[in-house]
This record gives sequence, C-alpha cells and structure tokens, in this order.
Amino acid sequence: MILINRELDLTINIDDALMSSIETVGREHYPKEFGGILIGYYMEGQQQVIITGTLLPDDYRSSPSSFERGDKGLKERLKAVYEEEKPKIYVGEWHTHPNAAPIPSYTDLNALKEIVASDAVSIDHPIMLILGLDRKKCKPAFYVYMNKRTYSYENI
Amino acid sequence: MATDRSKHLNDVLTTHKISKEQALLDKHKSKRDDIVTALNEEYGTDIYSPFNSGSYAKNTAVNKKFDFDLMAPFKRNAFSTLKEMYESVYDFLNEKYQGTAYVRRQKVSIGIEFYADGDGHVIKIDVVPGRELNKDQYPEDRKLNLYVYSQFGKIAEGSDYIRTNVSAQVSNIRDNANRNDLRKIIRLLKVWKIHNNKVPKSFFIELIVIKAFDKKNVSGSLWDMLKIVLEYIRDNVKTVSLSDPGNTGNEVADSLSDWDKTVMSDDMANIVKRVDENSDNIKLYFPLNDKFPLNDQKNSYGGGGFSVPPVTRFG
Ligand SMILES: [Zn+2]
Repeated sequence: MILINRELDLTINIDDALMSSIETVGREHYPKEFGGILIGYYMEGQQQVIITGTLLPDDYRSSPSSFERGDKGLKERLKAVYEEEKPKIYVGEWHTHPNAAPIPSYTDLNALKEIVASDAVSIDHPIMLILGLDRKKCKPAFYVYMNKRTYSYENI
Repeated sequence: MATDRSKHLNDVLTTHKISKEQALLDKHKSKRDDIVTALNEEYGTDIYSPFNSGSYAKNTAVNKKFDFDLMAPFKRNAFSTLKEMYESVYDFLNEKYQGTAYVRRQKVSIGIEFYADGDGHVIKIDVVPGRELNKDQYPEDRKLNLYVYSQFGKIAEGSDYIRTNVSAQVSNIRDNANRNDLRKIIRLLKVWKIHNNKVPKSFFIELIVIKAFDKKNVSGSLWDMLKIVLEYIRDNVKTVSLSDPGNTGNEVADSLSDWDKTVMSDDMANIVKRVDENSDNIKLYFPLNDKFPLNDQKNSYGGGGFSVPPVTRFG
C-alpha cells in the first residue's frame, strides 16, 4: 500500500504482505500491546520511504496499555541489514493499541521525541505505525514525527 | 536510476535562488551605494546617475555569482578620449579602494573585488564607464560609448564599443512578467556557465535566449523548453545576429569570437545528446548548488544513515 501526507508531500510504501504479518504478530500478543521497529530505505530526495521489514525485539515488557521495546541485540541485527546489497536502515516504529483507536498517546509522542534526540539515531523524522486492534478488526494508522508533533497519512 | 529532468532543473533553480544569500546580497547593495556616492563626489556634473545593469537588475541572477554591474555614464565633454575616461575611473577606484580591495582592468569594465570580510564573504562589483555618444543626448537616447581595454570577442583592444539603451534592455527583461520562463532558462544557462567555467558573457546568453524565445515556440515542461533553446543555440550561434534594437550597427554577437561560438555550439550539442541518452547526465551540466541542500527547503524524512534506536516505551 502507498500512503501520503499531502501537507508535507511525504509518502510511505509498504507491502500488503508485510502489513498482514505485522498484524498477525500483534494479534498473537493481544490483548497486550506489542511492537517492533521498521526498517527500509529512503528514495532520492528523501520524500518517500520504502518500508521493507520489521525487526521484533528480543526483550520487551508489555501490558494492555503499554509496551516497552528493549534494544538487546538490536545493533547487530541492524548492522546485518545495513550490510545487505541494498542497505536497509531504521526508519521508525510500530506498536499495537488493543481495543483502542490507533491515535498516538502522549507517551507515544514523547517516545518519538526521545528517539530523535538519541545520539545513535541519524534520522530526523521517524515513522510510527499504530495498529488499533480488536477481536475482529485491525485499523492501521501511519504517522511521521516532525515539528515536535505527529502528522498522519492517508491511503492512496 | 532515471532522473526526472524537469524536476531536477526546478531544484537547480531553487538551490540557486539569490534570496538564499540575503546577507551577501545586502552587502553587495551597500558597497554599490558607496561606489555610486564616491563617483558622484569625484566627477560631479561630469557624470549622469550611475545605474545597475547586471543580472541582479534584470532579475536573472543566480546565487553563485551576483553579477553586479554598475554603469557609470559620463558626459561627452568630460574626457577627450575614451581611453582617458577608462584610465581616470581606474585610477580613482584603485586609489580609493587600495588596501581594501583588488582593483583590476577588465575587458570593458573595472573590477573591484573586496577582500573577504569576517563572514568570508567576497563582494565583487564591476564598474563599466561609458561616455555619451552625442553631447547632451544621453538623457534622450541612452547611447553610451565604452572603451575596450582588452580584446573583447571580435572587438579589438583599444577600440570603441557602442552600447545603446542598456536601461531599456534591462527593463525589457525585467518588466515582462509573462516571460518568467525566459528568466528561468537564462538562469539555468548561467548555472551551466558558472559551474562549467564557460566563456560566454551573461549579456550574450541573455540576448541569444531572448532570440530563441522570439524565433521558436518555447513551451512544454522545463526540460522541453530548455532543450528547444539549447538546440536553437546549437544551430544558430555561429551565424545569429544579435543586434541592438536601438542601434542595428551594434552587433552584440561580435562580443564572442568565432572559435568561442563553435565551442558553444558543440557544448549545446553535447548537452542535448548526453541528456537524451541518459537523464542522469543533466546533473553534470546543471548541478544543484550544494551550499543549499534541498532538504533545507522541502519537507523530507531527513538523515538516512545507520541508526540504533534506544529502549523506548509506548502507551
Ligand atoms: Zn501507543
């Protein structure tokens, strides 16, 4: 699927297959939250991001209303995908909102702020995917962190 | 990967906008005002009002080079010869700016290049002395006689060069609002000239682009339009007449030698051929100004290197 924020003129490409496997993983942890990081690459001009995969955390803590992603072994795994013929880099995060709307919480906004502030992070505008999950449905929503706030995307 | 040629050309124009160098621009204006005041004080009633004639005045400037030309129009009786006029202005400017600038004799102008200031900015202004062609007629006909200090295209050292109605040529380009595309093409050719150290004077480029717009139906995408103009120059530069509307005897095309015209024709042919072969080649001839990366101007995801995110808690 392709998503766009028309105000910023930024787009996201992500495979439907990848979307459904993220949903499957999220559902396995339902009704607790779960998540992971998004990897991919930017196109020339950096107005388009291609999300190619997710790395799931080896360590995490979760509850029905919170999720803490650890960083154990993350550096090595990111290095491995960075050294592939087509290098992939960290482009953002995803997590679930069980029985809630896929709208960023205050904690989520703070999380993005801290990620961007981290010395080990070279990207300025991470993507955040939130999956609003209930027993039957999955509502995904994409955001980008910019100007100290989040901007949402629409499907095209 | 293929390059979107017109998008790239637009980016080239964006990164070369003079507004990105506002501080440097302001310094140029302020130095220019100093020079105008100094000339007026020195020459009193022998001089008419100096005015801008460079590409800044014509709204075709790019920020790699401001091209600030200052025309200094003298009265017919102020000097007995053009050489005397030229040397007088050179001596005056050289004396005045000694220790603060390099003052050089150039083809038809005197170049003043101020030493770099605290910001590393170098301000360069060319003063072009000219003497009215007919006594007391300048306010009417705007005709000026320039002194050719050194070989200027086909025009020999030491000869006269009549430049007519520079003000009108300036306002012709500047005022014609629906010729926005024309200014874009002129700016692109200046970017080509500056980044590739090419010979043709800005003045020559401006006139031949205007001619191309007059002779051809220049339309389509930005690359389509540029290509039409490049092909026009390729096919016509060796024979084209760029005479002054105000004085048909004044052949501006003579300001470029036959050899330089051949080189320019070959250059245009190469650009068209190589960009048609591979769209990426457009970047060789028309590069972005890397001092102002596009990421500063547009929204973008930014960065793009290797990252490891910290432990993070979501709610
Ligand atoms: Zn959340």
